[in-house]
Amino acid sequence: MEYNTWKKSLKFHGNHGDLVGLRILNNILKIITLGFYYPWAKVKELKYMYNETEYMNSRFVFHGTGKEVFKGFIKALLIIGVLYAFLLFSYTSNNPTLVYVGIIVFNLGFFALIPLALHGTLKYRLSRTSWRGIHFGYRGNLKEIYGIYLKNILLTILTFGIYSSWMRVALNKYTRSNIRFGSIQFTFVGKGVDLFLINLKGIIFSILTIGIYSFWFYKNRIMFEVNNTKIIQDGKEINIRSTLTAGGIFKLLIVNYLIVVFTFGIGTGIAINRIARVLFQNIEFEEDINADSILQTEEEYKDASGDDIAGMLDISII
Amino acid sequence: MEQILYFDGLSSRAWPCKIDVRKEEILIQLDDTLEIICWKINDLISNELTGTTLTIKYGEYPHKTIEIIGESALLYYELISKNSFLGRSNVLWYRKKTPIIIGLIFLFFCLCVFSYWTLIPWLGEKATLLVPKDTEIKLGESIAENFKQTEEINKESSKLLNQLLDSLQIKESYPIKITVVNSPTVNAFALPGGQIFVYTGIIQKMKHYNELVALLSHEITHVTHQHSLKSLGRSAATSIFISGLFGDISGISAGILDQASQLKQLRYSRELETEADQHGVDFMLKYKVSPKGMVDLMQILDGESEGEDGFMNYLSTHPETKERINALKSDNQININFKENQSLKTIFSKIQQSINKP
Repeated sequence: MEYNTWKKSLKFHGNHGDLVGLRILNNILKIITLGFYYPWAKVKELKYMYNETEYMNSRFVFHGTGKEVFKGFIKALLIIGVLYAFLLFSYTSNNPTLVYVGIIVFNLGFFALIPLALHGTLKYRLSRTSWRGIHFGYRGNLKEIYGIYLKNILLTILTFGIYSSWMRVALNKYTRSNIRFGSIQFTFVGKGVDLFLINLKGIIFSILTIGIYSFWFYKNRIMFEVNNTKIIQDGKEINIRSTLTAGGIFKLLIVNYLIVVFTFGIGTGIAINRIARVLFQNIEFEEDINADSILQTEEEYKDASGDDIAGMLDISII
Repeated sequence: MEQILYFDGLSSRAWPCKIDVRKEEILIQLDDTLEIICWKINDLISNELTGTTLTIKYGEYPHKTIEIIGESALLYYELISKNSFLGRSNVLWYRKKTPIIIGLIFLFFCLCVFSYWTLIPWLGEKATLLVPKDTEIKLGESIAENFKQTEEINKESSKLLNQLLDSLQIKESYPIKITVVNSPTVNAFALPGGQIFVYTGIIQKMKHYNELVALLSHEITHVTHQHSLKSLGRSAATSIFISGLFGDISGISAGILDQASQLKQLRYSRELETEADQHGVDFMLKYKVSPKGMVDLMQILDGESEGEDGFMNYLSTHPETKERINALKSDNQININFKENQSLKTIFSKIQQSINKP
């Protein structure tokens, strides 16, 4: 009999009441302050989520502050505000050419912001995350990620979207290999063709089964992301895998949907907790890292604007 | 599980320890080496409680950290907060303060309901007053242009109707433009900025020019009192408020809330109709046309709406016509009579002829 030696070292302890309460208070404050409380609300939720996540008996800590995120929020607001202002200006100009130019500039602007948002989020979020006093970090270079992004997005457009699987893999490879957790490194070994097949199969079968296959599609996408990420400590590679099942995802999403709908959104905190719990508790490590020997390597970083742009573009990264 | 761990910021090694919080310093004794480390309370970077985890950071980056997990975290947090200059930072401060939370939520709920019913629609309505008149007129024109492309316009009677309006020599703050649409529908409506559409169906049912002037005066009141723009402002403000309040909620709950706001909008729209009836009568008196025409017009509409029951009335944008007739009759001015205006009479019969042309 095969004995499973893989370790479930990630746990999520979130309590429904705490998060629902936190979100209610945050939303009340956001409304009263006409949205300006958003950075502080976001930081509180992140602090809560990180603190409830445990790896090998130690909790993660989020060190960001409302003030840092607020500065980023203002910068992001300005950048996105300029794009919207230009669009509005072109719409009201009554000049058809200018309207087209406005729409094109607006959309190009959004596309151009994606690498900045990705880079900024990783850099800020990771630098403000620690575990046992050791900070995470991101060493990617903005120019390099723009290079990868532009080349890949061009190929994606030329192939009518087919290349997007390879694009995703290229970005994953670059970002994962630049993440540091003190002296620990990460790598991504997924292949574009595998992701392409997952997507192709997923789309075709989801259509043929009127959506039922989409839960397997989700599962395969998550497995592709998790199982292809490796942890490297002192030259040794540690594999990770996801044990999530399509049935598990089905139950998670259906119940979450009902909770959110029937509580008019008030129960969203419960849904978030459930996602984190299911996701983390289904991640297995081939073996545990040597928890005592990680060395601090990363420098301090405080700019949160990328993170806020990502928030406004509605792309979730971590 | 109760534990206190010290991290030196250089490696991930966890040092189990005991701590002693004093007025000006924290003494940390490592269990393994018995070494004692002293932190000045004034040099602490943070003292932050999240649930049952207390994280205390000290010194320059990479910070040294103490992590206390368990029930004692709260005790240490309070003790250090009392002695240090750092602000309080308890992410879950509301824990075990259920009455305060429920009170706050209740207060907020009342505030929301109040805003939803009165404040927000009022603000939305006031905001539309900021729209410049030119913009309002242009907006009406562009909606009218789109509408005209989908309907069959009766050019001859449109011209005659505008002529009728000219002969009244009205002086209103908006340029009124009437368009007649070929359709059996017994109705008429006004757009922002002065565009009025009248269906041939309603003109065919009229017997006297008084009724036609009554209809126009009702619609002109909608224009001059900016009714459509106000409704637009109110419903836009309400939907912005709702989406701000509930964020990205799913389609179903958004749909339910949308229905509720539709009902509210209908009630408002009935208020506007009543207002247009009353001001319509004033308008007719001002231009010396017998206001009895308004009652006759309502009777035409009443004949059309027969068969609709009480529930439909609740869902209607217009008040029940019988109610409208009674409201009009209770006004003494309605019985004032003016001499027949021959020029209006002639134009009215021309309009009737042009509509009834095969």
